[in-house]
Amino acid sequence: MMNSDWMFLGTTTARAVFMWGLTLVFILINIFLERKICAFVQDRVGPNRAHICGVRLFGFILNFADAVKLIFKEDILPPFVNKAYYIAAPAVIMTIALMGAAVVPFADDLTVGGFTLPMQALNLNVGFLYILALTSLSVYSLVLAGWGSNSKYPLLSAMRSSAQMISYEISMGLSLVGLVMVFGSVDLGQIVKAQGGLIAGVVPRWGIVVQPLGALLFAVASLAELNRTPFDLPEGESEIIGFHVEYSSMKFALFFMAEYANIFVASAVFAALFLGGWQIPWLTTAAIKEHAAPVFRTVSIVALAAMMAVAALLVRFYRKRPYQWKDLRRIEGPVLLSALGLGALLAVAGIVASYVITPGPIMAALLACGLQMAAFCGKSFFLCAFVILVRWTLPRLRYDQLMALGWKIMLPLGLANLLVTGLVLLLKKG
Amino acid sequence: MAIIVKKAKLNVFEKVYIFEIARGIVVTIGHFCNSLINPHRLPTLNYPEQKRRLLPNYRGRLRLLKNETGELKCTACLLCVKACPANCLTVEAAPATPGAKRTPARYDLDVGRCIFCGLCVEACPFGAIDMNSGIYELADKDPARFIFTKEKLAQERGPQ
Ligand code: SF4
Ligand code: SF4
Repeated sequence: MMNSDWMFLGTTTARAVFMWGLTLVFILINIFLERKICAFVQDRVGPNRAHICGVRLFGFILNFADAVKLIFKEDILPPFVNKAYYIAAPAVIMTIALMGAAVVPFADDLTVGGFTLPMQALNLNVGFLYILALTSLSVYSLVLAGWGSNSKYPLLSAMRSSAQMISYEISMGLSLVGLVMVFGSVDLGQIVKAQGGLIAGVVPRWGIVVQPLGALLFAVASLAELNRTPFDLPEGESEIIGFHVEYSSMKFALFFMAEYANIFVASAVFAALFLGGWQIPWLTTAAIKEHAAPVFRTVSIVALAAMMAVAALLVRFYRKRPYQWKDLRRIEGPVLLSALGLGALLAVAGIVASYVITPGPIMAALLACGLQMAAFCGKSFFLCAFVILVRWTLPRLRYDQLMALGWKIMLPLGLANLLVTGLVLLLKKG
Repeated sequence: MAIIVKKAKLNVFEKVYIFEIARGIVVTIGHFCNSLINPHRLPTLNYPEQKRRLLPNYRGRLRLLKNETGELKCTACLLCVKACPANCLTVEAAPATPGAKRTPARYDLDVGRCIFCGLCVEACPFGAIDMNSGIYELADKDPARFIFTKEKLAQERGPQ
């Protein structure tokens, strides 16, 4: 093989592993967010006990305790199930969930020494059609779980969820057609690049600005595809019974991890399609490369300010707290504050360095890449938090309401959106 | 008789739902931010570190009271044993000495059986026991430690 072939292989692997790892990390983050947001919205404290050497990271460590618990739980294989389907279902849903993020670009093409790297694990020209295909596939896993469990409630739930997901897939596809018409491509990389411009020199040309109705429809449809409240009829944990009642231990955990992985995938796709993906508003890749030093300085200052704010909040909390921890958790405050202090030191070093060092083209390119990755992760993070917040805000729809919303409201609205978009484009052309 | 519930009339703004949903989200975000910025004001009590203030009539674990000279007030009359519906008291009198007050040789309480009803306290004619101890953390891994003997029951601790 030629040298460039090896390079291609290496970088592709690296990109794939990055996106895969990001999905896995976001599973943890989403579970953490779910617990903490739920608690805070309901005026509770949330997880605050599990700790490693006293550090709880605001309850994040509970995830690891949870993982240990789930792994060591007894794995029951009920005698009446269809073993092949029963075991395949969680594996299928998790595989699909981990594949989803592959086509989402997480930074602009990186050009280093005449070698251009698309920052996207899978540079498919079918673009988000791949994601629509994967969502359709994930219905199979629910049906497999329902059928393989060989029990009434999972079967009923599987029927419910397949009807729901098939109905909303149509609205999901339709809501994106308008976007394709505007940006003229289905490739996510192209779509994100097309969102870099400005409308009238002020507003970023994001999907949500040019296709507000499409964005709304897509958001609702993807909530339905994710089986999240207000559309969580397949699971229906509180009264109707979900498709995974017969599952225990790690198999059950896989269903849950897949749900949280899917939240990340949906958020990443929404960010890429409607919120400009890795685009930082008013700051193009070329601009970052040109003014690398001032950009880096600004980022350092912002990071410094953020760390100070977090530290202030922490100190305030530790001082106002009316009790003392009696175990190792009492060293948490000093540990977290010194970590923040270290971060602040690094930020100050960054500010100083931005005056001293003149960054070369490679460093500037890497800086742009890193900033865009951070922008992409930040957007995804906020969207994940939003999805979770919605769960703790809205009650569940009744099944007939669900179907009425899908067929009688979303579908006509999607078609109307298409019509209006087409007309506007036609008029613009002249 | 069937009651006909009148549906609330929604105006156009409310029928679109989206705005109402947005309003709901504003409410939850408000609660979220409030809890995030003022975690010390949350009503939750961090139990082992923070303890609830007990009311004066809170029924904790039974306790044997002493008189001014420091002896147990109990005269081993066994009325409390008879009153106890859960059969958790075992009292034996010490051999009587003429002229002196009778005392219990053994006064055992099986907390594993006690239902904290307070009938024993009401039955005692000498006011020798009460449940004002404020002791309620009685969970244990070893059932043998549920038996509280005379010495342990005489521990002083009032309502907090
Ligand atoms: S509180 Fe009730 S159950 Fe407990 S020892 Fe007294 S009489 Fe018996
Ligand atoms: S505690 Fe009271 S009722 Fe019970 S044996 Fe002693 S004196 Fe009698």
